[in-house]
Amino acid sequence: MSDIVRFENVTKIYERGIVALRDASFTVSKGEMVFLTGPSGAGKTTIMRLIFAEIKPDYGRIFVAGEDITNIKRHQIPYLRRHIGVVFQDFRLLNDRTVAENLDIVLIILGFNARERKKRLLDILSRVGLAHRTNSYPRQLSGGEQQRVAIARALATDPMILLADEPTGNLDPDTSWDIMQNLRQINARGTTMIIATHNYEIVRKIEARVMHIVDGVLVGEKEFSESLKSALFEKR
Amino acid sequence: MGFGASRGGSISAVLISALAILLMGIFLTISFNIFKIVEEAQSEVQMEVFLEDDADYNKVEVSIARVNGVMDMFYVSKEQAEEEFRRAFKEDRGLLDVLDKNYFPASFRLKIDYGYRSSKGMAEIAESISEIDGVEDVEYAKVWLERLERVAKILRTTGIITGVVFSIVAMVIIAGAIKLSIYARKKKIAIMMLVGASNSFIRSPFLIEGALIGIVGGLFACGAIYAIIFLVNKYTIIHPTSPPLEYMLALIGFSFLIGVISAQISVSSFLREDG
Repeated sequence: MSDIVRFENVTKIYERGIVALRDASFTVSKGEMVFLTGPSGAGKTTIMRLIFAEIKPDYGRIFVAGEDITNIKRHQIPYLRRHIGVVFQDFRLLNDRTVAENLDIVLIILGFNARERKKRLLDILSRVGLAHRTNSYPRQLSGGEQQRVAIARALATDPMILLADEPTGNLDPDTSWDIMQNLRQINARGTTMIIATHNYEIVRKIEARVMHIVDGVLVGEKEFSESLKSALFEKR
Repeated sequence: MGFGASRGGSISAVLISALAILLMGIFLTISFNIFKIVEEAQSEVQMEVFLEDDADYNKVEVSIARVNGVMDMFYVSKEQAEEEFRRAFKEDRGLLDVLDKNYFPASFRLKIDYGYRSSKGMAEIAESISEIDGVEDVEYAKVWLERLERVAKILRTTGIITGVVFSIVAMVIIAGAIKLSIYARKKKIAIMMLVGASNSFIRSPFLIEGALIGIVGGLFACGAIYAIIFLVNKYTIIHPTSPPLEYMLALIGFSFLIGVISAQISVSSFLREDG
């Protein structure tokens, strides 16, 4: 079994009849890096939320690491999430805690003792180049640094998949590129990755599989190319 | 995790629930004191068994002693009865001089066992004794006793209802404070749920907070009750007794429970509505 994520005819309808995702089917294999692209509101975040079970599909089935999570029970969700790392556009760090404490919480939840936690902490932070910032608070860090802390936190669990929802949305182009490189390195080490983004510049530059969504529907290469062109055209 | 975020909320919760528990405690004290008064009053109630003139004193004594609930008894002879009357009604001595013989019956005055001091118990004993040969009449303060018990029952029921009402009030207050606390930390909780914290991991700090609010409120209330009793004793004519330590500990234990249950309700409802 090398499918980390598998969607089978998944449909998600929100209140007021808004169809966020329509009959979506795809798989993501172990070690893959996949870009999820499409306009805002197209359904990218919906896919993410379905994978970490924040919401349930109305039709179809979802598999994570071979397990059918379509009707996952409430009390099982935390255990699923401990194998999934998530990174958001707004970082979602605990602002009243230091960098070390932000990571520590995850490690405590996972049940590591104090010594193990200390070791893992330094290990993870050096992987994102922030070992020197353990005692800083998020507000003392730049956007890029905060996002790296978020990535470090996502990696703390040694996840089988990392989901990044617009990870560079709040960052300038140079920092965005750095973050993407960081993610690429992490992927190169074997972490499966799904990155939702409408930063087409980056998508263009990095060689990876692209899944394009428009209005809740996964569309093919052609539509993606057109979207890409118009997006890049608008930028000029 | 600290109470920092909603310290004001927690403090007012402690104070208000302490107030509710205090009121419960005051009713507890009043109930306890009434209970003591009733107990004392009941112990004063005597039963007098009047003998027929030709009764066999010894036989009657043995029969009465056999009746359940009779703890002790002493004999009052006709002469002693007349003497008592003379002493009690000095001014009306003339009355007695008119009579040509001693019309006062001899009697046994009974001391009733603790468990039979209710109107029901007394009625039982009275019935058993009146069937004994040689007994003319059995007298005790029946109406008064029944009235006392009626009043005590009303007060007890009021106490229970008040206790329940104030418990609910305290629970609502504490649940509200916990809810505020939860919402103050909503963002943090969301992040924790995201990284896979189990429900119990998220729940426990709030349960502890609820327990603390309950305990501190209970301690506060107990302190206040003792203070009130002291002041009432000192400055008024009423002399209440403080309830025994077990009651106070039970009150604190109860408020602890209220705290935990209220917190549990708040957290559960939050977790249920939040993915």
